[in-house]
Amino acid sequence: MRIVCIKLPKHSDAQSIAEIFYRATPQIRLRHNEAIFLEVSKCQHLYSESTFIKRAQITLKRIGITAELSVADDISTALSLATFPVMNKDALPVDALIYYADPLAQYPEQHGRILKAIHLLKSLGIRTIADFLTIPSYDISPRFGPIVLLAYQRLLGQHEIPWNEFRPREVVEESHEFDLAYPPRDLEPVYFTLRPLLDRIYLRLRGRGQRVRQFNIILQQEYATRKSPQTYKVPIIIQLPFVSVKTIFQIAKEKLDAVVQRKPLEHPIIKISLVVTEEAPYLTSQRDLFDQKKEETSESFFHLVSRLATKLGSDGAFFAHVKENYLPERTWFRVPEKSITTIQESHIPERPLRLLKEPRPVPIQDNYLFHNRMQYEIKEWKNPEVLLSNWWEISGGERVYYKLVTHTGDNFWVFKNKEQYYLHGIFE
Amino acid sequence: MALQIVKPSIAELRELIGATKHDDRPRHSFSLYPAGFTTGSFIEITGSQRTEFTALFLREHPKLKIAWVEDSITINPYALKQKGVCLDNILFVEGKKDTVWCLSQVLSSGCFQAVITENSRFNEKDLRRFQLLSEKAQNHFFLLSASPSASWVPHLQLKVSKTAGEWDVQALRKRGAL
Repeated sequence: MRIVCIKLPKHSDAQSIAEIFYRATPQIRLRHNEAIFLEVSKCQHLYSESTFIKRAQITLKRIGITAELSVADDISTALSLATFPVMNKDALPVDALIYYADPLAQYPEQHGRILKAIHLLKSLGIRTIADFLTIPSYDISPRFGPIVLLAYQRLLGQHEIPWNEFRPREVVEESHEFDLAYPPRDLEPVYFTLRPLLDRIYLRLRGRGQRVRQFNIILQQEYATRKSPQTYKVPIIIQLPFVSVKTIFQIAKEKLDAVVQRKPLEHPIIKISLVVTEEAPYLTSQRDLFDQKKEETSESFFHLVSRLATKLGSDGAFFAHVKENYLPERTWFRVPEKSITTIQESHIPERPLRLLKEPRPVPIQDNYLFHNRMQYEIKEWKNPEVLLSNWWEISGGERVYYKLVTHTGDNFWVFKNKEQYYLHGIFE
Repeated sequence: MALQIVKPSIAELRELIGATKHDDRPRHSFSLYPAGFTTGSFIEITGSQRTEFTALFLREHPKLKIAWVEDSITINPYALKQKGVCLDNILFVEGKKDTVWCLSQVLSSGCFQAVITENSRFNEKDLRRFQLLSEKAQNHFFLLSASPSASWVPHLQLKVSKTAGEWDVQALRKRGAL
């Protein structure tokens, strides 16, 4: 078993950082917000230990965290090596016993006893772990107590710590509180904070094999006023996959600018939060090194679609997925991403290129059709077709469709239902 | 024998003074309009069969990346499929009240080789902007109108109709080197 310990600086959120590494290994344990332990022996076919450490360091640097990393055969040793500046287990100072006795900081009430024992050991001239291991095991419990015996046994490779299931948080959220002494009054400082927050969100979701599809940016003002609420909630939609954080940031910036321009901020901002509201599977693809232009075009395409979706809503920019159905309003539906169309050959009679969202009642009198304040003389009633639709709909029941050929060359698709004619499409 | 005065055409006069503009921009051929459509051109299509005419152009060029922008989507993708159009490369955009913004974004993105829209009462300024953007991005901009617009902006104005399966394509106006 090989354990990587990431010793975090103070006030870090260990759970959210651990989620980033969930991609590498599901065996993760935490020592509160102080350290993360990753069991990496199963991923050694992908990365060597040194590669893993370098990758982890780059990832941590990306989210602005400087951490101490170490590798060892067990949790306690990994933590001790990350804490004390020594190269091997035997050279560790005797103070490391606290990490052997309680590596996950689950029993803080025992810490007093361990510290007392360490003090006693030091007074006896025992400075390192190597010195400590020279004491016979039968002397440990009567002289220093059972907790030190436990640490002794762990040093000898006994009493392994079980790997409980690591569960990522259900809601992916990142926030930053601004210094209350100098809270920002405009968006410029907010953007400097937004980028690392987006990086963290991206990496956390990537760890679960997912990507962000929709998220809210919540800006909290210092006070609420009668005119405006305390919080600004700006939804961002990322319609397509493979969008880089840079692109997401640009989309978010544009949207925030537009919202604040329309409804200016009234008070300084004290907090910014990002809450993921919808996720989608992360699909990996190999970058085409030999066709940079193609890569750039794809990126700008995803950027464009996401900008359109953020402005118009998720239904605003879409691809069409067609399916075989006799009812014309059910022959296609909107999909956010390209889908493979299964229909090769249509067995349904010709449909009009223009189809109204709702059939519109049209008067037809004396062989004249009246539409948009114009009258069209009908030359021919063609292609009668009988369709049955749901009886509970307004135009439900039996519909008898006709293609009306007019003298002007305009062709309409109308149907008769309950003694009323409806215009449903135009063969344009 | 009476003296006959032959009036030269504008093209001949231009050639005489060396002012002939040769357009070396790539063109997309089209069986219904043999001259084809030059990239970066603004084409207004009117007439009762304008959408079908456009669909047939798309059928002949299945690899083109298309953006179909409308205020409210009335185009029927199923019917496009029936006409043989490949839907995989068509992004539909329902612009609602932001159609002008959507068209500007789509045209300037450079991701599409053709952008199709319906005339939803664009003003002269909007049309000029679309024309410049399409020229810059080298894509076709198709404007489908019920009747020919009075605007000077389109490079090519076509009126299309179909009677008994026979297409009648008239070029109402040409501008520039098209």
